[in-house]
This record gives sequence, C-alpha cells and structure tokens, in this order.
Amino acid sequence: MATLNSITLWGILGLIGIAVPIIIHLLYRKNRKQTEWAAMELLRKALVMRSGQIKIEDFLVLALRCLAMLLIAAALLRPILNSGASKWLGEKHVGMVVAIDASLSMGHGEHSRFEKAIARAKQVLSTAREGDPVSVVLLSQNPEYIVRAADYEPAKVENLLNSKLTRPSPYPLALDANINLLSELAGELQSGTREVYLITDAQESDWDSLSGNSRETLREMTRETGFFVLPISTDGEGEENLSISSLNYASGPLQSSGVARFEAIVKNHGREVANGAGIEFWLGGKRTRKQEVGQIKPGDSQVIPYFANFNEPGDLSLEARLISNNDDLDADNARFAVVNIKESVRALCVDGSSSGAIGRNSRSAVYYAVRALRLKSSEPEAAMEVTQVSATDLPLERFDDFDIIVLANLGKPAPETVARLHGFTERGGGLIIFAGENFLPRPEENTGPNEHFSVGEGQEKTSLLPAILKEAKTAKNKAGWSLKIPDSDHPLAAIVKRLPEDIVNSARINRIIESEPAAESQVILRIAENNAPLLLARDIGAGSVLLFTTSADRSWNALAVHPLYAMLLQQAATTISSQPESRLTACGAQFKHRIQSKAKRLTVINPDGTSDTIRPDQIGETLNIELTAGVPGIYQYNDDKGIALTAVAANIDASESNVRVIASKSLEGQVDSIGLNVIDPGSSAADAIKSARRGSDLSSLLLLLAVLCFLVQSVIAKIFTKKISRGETDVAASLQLSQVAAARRT
Amino acid sequence: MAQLKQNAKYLDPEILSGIGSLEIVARQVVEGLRIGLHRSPVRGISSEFTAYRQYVPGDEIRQIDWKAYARFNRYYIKQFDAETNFVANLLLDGSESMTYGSGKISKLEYAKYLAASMAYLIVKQGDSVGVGMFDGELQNYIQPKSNLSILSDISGEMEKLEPQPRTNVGAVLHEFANRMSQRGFVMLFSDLFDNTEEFINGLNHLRFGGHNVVLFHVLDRYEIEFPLNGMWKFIGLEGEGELVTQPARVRENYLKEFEGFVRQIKNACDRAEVDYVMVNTGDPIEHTISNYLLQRSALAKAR
Repeated sequence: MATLNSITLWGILGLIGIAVPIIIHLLYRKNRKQTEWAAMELLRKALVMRSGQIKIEDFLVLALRCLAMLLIAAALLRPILNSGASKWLGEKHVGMVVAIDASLSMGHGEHSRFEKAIARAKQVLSTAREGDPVSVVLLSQNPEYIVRAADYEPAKVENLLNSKLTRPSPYPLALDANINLLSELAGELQSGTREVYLITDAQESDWDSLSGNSRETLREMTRETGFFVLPISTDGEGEENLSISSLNYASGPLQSSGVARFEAIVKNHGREVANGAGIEFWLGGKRTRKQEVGQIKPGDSQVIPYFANFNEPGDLSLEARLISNNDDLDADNARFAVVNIKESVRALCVDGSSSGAIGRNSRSAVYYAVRALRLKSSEPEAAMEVTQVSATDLPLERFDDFDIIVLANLGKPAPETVARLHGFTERGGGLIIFAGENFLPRPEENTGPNEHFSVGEGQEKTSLLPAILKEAKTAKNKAGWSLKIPDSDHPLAAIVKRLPEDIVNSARINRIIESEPAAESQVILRIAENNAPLLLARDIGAGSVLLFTTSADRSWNALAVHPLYAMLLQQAATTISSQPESRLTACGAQFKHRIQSKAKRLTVINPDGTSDTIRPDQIGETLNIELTAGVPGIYQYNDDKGIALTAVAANIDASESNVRVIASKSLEGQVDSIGLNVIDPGSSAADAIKSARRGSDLSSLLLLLAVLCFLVQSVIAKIFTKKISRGETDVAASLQLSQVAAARRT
Repeated sequence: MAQLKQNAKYLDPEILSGIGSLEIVARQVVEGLRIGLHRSPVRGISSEFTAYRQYVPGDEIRQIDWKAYARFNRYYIKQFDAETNFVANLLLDGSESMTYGSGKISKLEYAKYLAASMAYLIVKQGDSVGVGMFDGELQNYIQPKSNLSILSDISGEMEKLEPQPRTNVGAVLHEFANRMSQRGFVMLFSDLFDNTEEFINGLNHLRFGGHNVVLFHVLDRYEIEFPLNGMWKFIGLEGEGELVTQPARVRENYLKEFEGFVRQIKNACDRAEVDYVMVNTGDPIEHTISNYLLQRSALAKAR
C-alpha cells in the first residue's frame, strides 16, 4: 500500500484526532455532579448488575469514536491499495470516453503514431470491466465512433480497433471543436464516475492554439469528470517532414493553347535541413515534369513554379508529388488542383463615356481596356474575343454570350440592365467595373452609383459594387499616387508582388473615388500614400465583380498605358472567368459547386478509383454538386454518358503537416492549471489509471466508513445512556392512582 | 386555637383546610375504650342492641333473653355492640437517610408535616395520639393524649429531633410492640432503607399484638423515578461510601431493584393486613392525606 499525501503530516493530525475523543471522555468523567443519596443499597445492586456491561459499552463507544477519527486521517492520506488487495473491496462502474487522435499527423512514422495510439487505447480499455459504459471515438474534424455510450464488450471493441477501417483520417484534429464533443460524450455515459482519455500525438499546432473557451470548457468538465491526456511516444521516429503546403494557379491564361504558371510551395516542417527531395508534376493524369526541390532550411518554404501547357478546354487536373527519403508522413506529400480551361474568353467592353470618339484625346473609355485584352490578337491561337459596344447598345447584348463584361465609366446603368448584370454574375459571369466622370454625383440628382448599381427593394436591396463609393479625390502632386505593394494572396495582387518595385511605382494614379469596402468584399490593391482602395473584389453567386476606383482610360491615371494595366486586365479576365479556386476543397469540409448541365445522374470517380452515382439538385440548366471529401485527390464528375463534366480537387489541411509534438512534461505544465492529468508515454497507462482511480476510491470508502462509525457510535451511545425526556416518567403519581383505583374497585 | 397554631409549626392551616371534614374510620374494630364513633368487638357491655343468636352451652346464663324464651319457647341470647375509644401512635423515622430531598423539602421534613397533620385530625375527632421518634432505637415517646395540647408537645419534640445514622426499624417495632399494653393504631413514617427482613418481623410482632398498623412509605421523587442524566457522584447518607456512575445507564436496573424492594414490603404488609401508603415527597401533603383517607373510607364501607 502507498499513500498519495504526506504520511508524516496527516499521521500527526490523525493521532491528534484520535486523542480528541479520549480527552473528551476523560473530561466528561471529571466534570461530574455530586449528590447525597439515601437509596445506596438499591443503587449499588443496580451497579453491580451493570458495571461490567457499562465498561464494555463505554469502551465500544470510545473505540468507535477513535476508529472514526483514524479512518478520516487514513482517508486524508489517500491510500492506494495494490491490485491484489483491492479485489475484495470491489470496484465501481466507471464510464469511459476513449478518444483516439485520428488526425492526419497520426499517420507519421514507420510504426505510425496511430498504431501506438491504438495500443495505448487497448491499455486504457483494459481497466474497464465488461458492462461499463464506454465510448471509443476516432477524433478528427469528422469524428468516427467505434462504440458510443455502449456497454463494454472487450472482444467486440478489440476487433473494431484492429479493423483495417480504423485508420487515421486526412483531416486535422480540430481540437477546439472536439472538446465540446468530448464533454457531450462524457455526459451521455450512465455512470457515477466518468473518465475521458485523449490519446494524441500532442501536436504543437493543436495545443499551442487552444482557445480560451476550450480551456474553460475543459476546466468545467474536469470538475465532475476525470480527464487524462495520454501523449504517445514519438521517440526515435524523428520529426522530419517535408510537405507540399499548396499548389495554386499563379498567372497566365487558362485557355486552350495557353500557358499558365502554377506554384507549388514545399515546406520543411522538420528540425534539419532538407536535401535531395524531388517533385513531380502531373497534368491530366500524366507526369509532365520532375525536378529537384533543392535545399530547404527548417521552417522555410520553397516555391516551385510549374508552367502548364493546355491543349484542350474543360476541367483539367494537376498534381504535385513530393519524393523524399527523409519523410515519414506520406499523406502531405501530394497536392491536387483542378482548373477550368476555356476554349476562349469572350469579353464585352462597354464604353460608358458620353463624349464622342473624336481625336486622340477623345478615345473611348474602353480603348485601353480593349487593347489590353487583345494583346495576343495577332497570334493565330488568339483566345480572347473582345466586343466593344457603347452604353446605349448594352441592353441589346446577350450577356450569356460573354465570359466577362467590362463597364468603363458607366455611372448610371438602367435598372433592367443592372438586374441582368446581377443575374449574369450569379450564373458565373465576371464583371469588371471602372469608375470615371460619370460616377460623380450630378447636382440635379440625389442618387449616385451606389443606388444605380443596386437591385431589389427594401431589405433585399443589394449592390453589385464591392464598395460603397464616396467622393472623388485628386492627388495634390501632379505626379500622382503610387500603388502599395499588396499583402493579399489574390492572383491579381500576386502579379503586383512579383513585379520589381520601381516598375510598380511608375504606375501613377491621379484621381480615384474614395470608397469603403462593402461586406464580404476584398481589397486587392491600395494607394500607397493614403491607403485608399484601388481595386476591390466581391463574389456574387458563382461569379465575381471587380471594381477599379479609378478610370479605365488615361483621364484619371497613367495606369492605362502602363504594362501593369494589361497584366492586371488579362489576369482579371482569366481569374474571374475560369475561377481557378472554385474547384478546390479541403478534406472533411463541405463543398458546393454549380455546373452547366442537364444530366439527371452523375457518376463520381473517387481518388481511390471507386465510383458513386449521385442525383444532384437541378436549378434550370445548372446542377448543384455537393461534396465532403474523405480522402485527398481528384473527384471526377461524369454525366450518364460518361462525358467528363467537372472535377474537384481535395487536399488535406496543411497545418497538420507540422508533426512537431509537445514534450510530455511541457504538456503537463500547460494543462495542469486546467485540471487535466497527463500520463507519461513511458509509463503503463493501465497502472497509472488504476492508481489514480483506486487512490480516490479508497479515500471515499474510508470517509464513508468514518461517517458510519460516527453514526453507529451516536446511535449506540443514545441507546446506552437512555436519557430521560420530560414527562417520560411519573411513577409516583401512577402508583398512587393505581392504589386509589384498586381501593375503589374493592 | 390561634395560640395553638402559632406554637405548632407543622400544623399548616392550608394542609388541614384541604382535608376538610373527612373522618378517620378505622379499618378494623379496636377494642373500644371510648364510646363514640368506633365500634367494638366486645359485646355485652354497651346498651346498643345488635342481634339475637341461639343459646349454645357455655354461654353465660345471664345473657339469655327470657322474654324471647317466653314468646318462642327457645333460648336466645341478645347481643350488643360496645363503642370504643381510639389510640393512635405515630412512629417517625429520624435517621440520616430521611434527610435526603431532591427538592426544597427532605423526606424527614415531609414526614413531620404528614405526621403532625394526621395527629391533628385524630385529636380533632376526639381520639388520642401518641408520638414516637426513632433512629437506631426509640428516642422520644409522648404518651397518648386526646386533647389538642398534645399537638404542642409533638411539635416541640419534632423540632428537637436530630437525624442519626443507621435506622433499625425492625428493632424499634419490636420494642414498641412490647411497650404497648393497649391495642391501637400504629402509623409508621419511614423510607425503610434498612434490613427489610427485620422490618417485616417487627411489623408482624405489632400485628400479633393486635395493633392496627399503617405504613407511610416516605420516598423522594428522585428515588422513585431516578431521573438523573449525566455523570453523578452519589454519597451515601448513612456511611455507605460513594458511587460514581451515569444514572441514565443504570436507571433500568435501579428501577427494577426499586420495584422489587417496594413489592417485598407491600407483600409483607398485605400478609400482615397492614395498610401500605407510598408517599412521594414531590406530591402536596394534603393530596397524600386525602388519598389515604379516601382509601380508608372505601375499605371501611366495603366491610
């Protein structure tokens, strides 16, 4: 037997406790009353009969009082019995929640962390008795239950744990979200004692970012529930891991016969410099390129560019695959992307300027825009078809014949036109709006472009613009303002970031309309001097709207004749027409996508080669596709004739690639204040749990016995002393009354 | 009368007014000395006719009623009741054990009041009262008198009484039985915490002498009920030493012993045709007397 508390301190307190009833007993004997007594003979006879009995009774009561104090002192020592001795004491039913971290990082290592976690879970479950309420859950962004609030059947649970289907998921742990789940699972167990066991690799990324709410929830939970964290041993497996953290479209036309630039970012999550790794790029299922990654320092990333040539229109899959010898986590060595390649991009440029096209200085507002979009028009594979119309002809055009519509200086479109433009963007079209003189409020009108570009009435009124426009502002300096180097990841911002700074600075802006970003909009470019938004973006339905707060021509800026202007417009046309991000999703996340098709059934070919048939919702000529990807890879959607309609790329959460773990001692220090118990990976989980459980069990048992002793002694003392209450006896009166009554009867 | 009441400390007017016009009626007919209320078993010396009975050989010839013979031609004897005088002796236990009292009044004090009240009643109805006080032996004895002056004597003697240890009631009863030549009433006031066998012998001796005996068993309420709680040290009043105990723990056994003690005395009284009256010093004296007299009256009527 061992004790959890100091035997010296509590032993002394226990001895003092035992002395208390003895002292009270002695004081009670000394503090007696005195009287003269006539009927001594009767009293002596009564005492002779009872004295032996009284001594035994006194001893019994005193012994019970001392025993009660002794038991309290023993309970405070928190004694732990060994397993042999505890068998005859019996054990309580314990409700257990065994949560096994099944996040992506658990797949790390030759003998994966997950295998170790399963072995650890078996150790934990070995402390459960058959019939105990038990939940076993594989914890990740999408939790999977092996058993939930069921009576424990060892063989069944063992089989399920050994099953091939019990494996790590491609999802992150989502610790914050899952703490509430653990609390819920513990609450479901029909048991007086509840314990939660979290078996995890204790990734730095999970525990360092644990939110305040989660900490509070844990603290709350530990008041009634024992919470044990069991970090698994990562000794010897190393923490070296290279991952492809992203594979994104960067620039270039996404058109057949075009060449687009993609970027794969390779990150070293380990503690050593990574050398000798290679990367392969696969386009449409064919390997098109292989190259060395080069040297990457710990924590650093390297951007690997890939230029893809497209020959055919349609959704095209792209895969980057890492080849590394010093990498134990395979799941993050591949990254997938799907881009929509168009045959050609059809653009409608609308000149909203009221002035006629006379002379050099009287070029239409869209003159430079059209030129910028038609840069490659001389080439035989020209893929940008640009149509130029005036504002008055705009209502006559069929918007769905175009992929993008450029509105230059169109300050007051007709409400019907705005409604049609709204429908066009909702269906997936792209809208590029340039400001200009016509956006300035006229004295005779109370309304401005904010109202003119709005659709709907009352509360349902929405604006097409990604910003609320205010007044025009002109640079005081004739040289105008320059562009701020953006920090956004938007492909348009990326173009500016890639250009040399002096080139960016040479693009001068003289006048803008001040604006405030609208809800759900994104500022892509800003003016360096006053931080005013220059280019803003907003998604409406399946399409997007871009707003330049300056003019499309040279009237307000020198941008229109700057090389950046063409690059921005080309990229904008590509981005909003092909929407390269629209076919990407994360494993475990809910994904929705709309495609043009009338097919009633679709076949989904999963990354592992299996296929499913789905019946998507049909709205007009579009289908709504919903997907929650279980594994990373390309999900190909074909119609009932086998024609490829679209594809979706699912990737793992890049944050899980950081397989670095917190040392057991550090974790203990971090969670101790919350009330969690950490069981060291080196110790036996079963022994640690039994010790913790039995220690407390024996304490409560001893306290219960102490209370029982107190109760028994008080009852016995009451019986022994038989104190007389008022009115209990009136012997004399009853004797006399009986005498009188007897005499009368006679 | 006013003077008498002033001198007689124990004659509490309230006690006596509580008794009122109750009459003492002897349970057994005593040979009468005084013509009055008490009937005598000695027939022939009084003029009050009671009954005829047929002559049997051995009867005195002079008792034959010749008139009846003339009428019925048979011998009849005419019987008469004689009216008797009443002599009561009150014996008061003055031993140390009688000094115990849980309340304001000790058993001895209570017994004194009780005896004085009884004496007053007896004298008031024209009978004679003598009083003896004893501890180890009979200490003071006042010869019976039938006038109220005896009350002053009794009161004075009672005041002189100094409690002594060791009661020997049996010996006193023997001595008193030997001393008394004339049969009469004997009223004994004692707690009887003594040798019970000796007491019973003494009682029988008195009864054999033809005395009508009434035992007033004077006990304190605490002695009857033993209602003490906590730890107590008991000091014997007659040199029995000390005892320390928790009364509540031995109460049951004490009451059992007490009951046996009372039963033994009561049985002895029943056998000897002695009136037994348990007196609880917690009760008002007038209640005790009233109850006793009611008891006596009921018994007399029954006869």
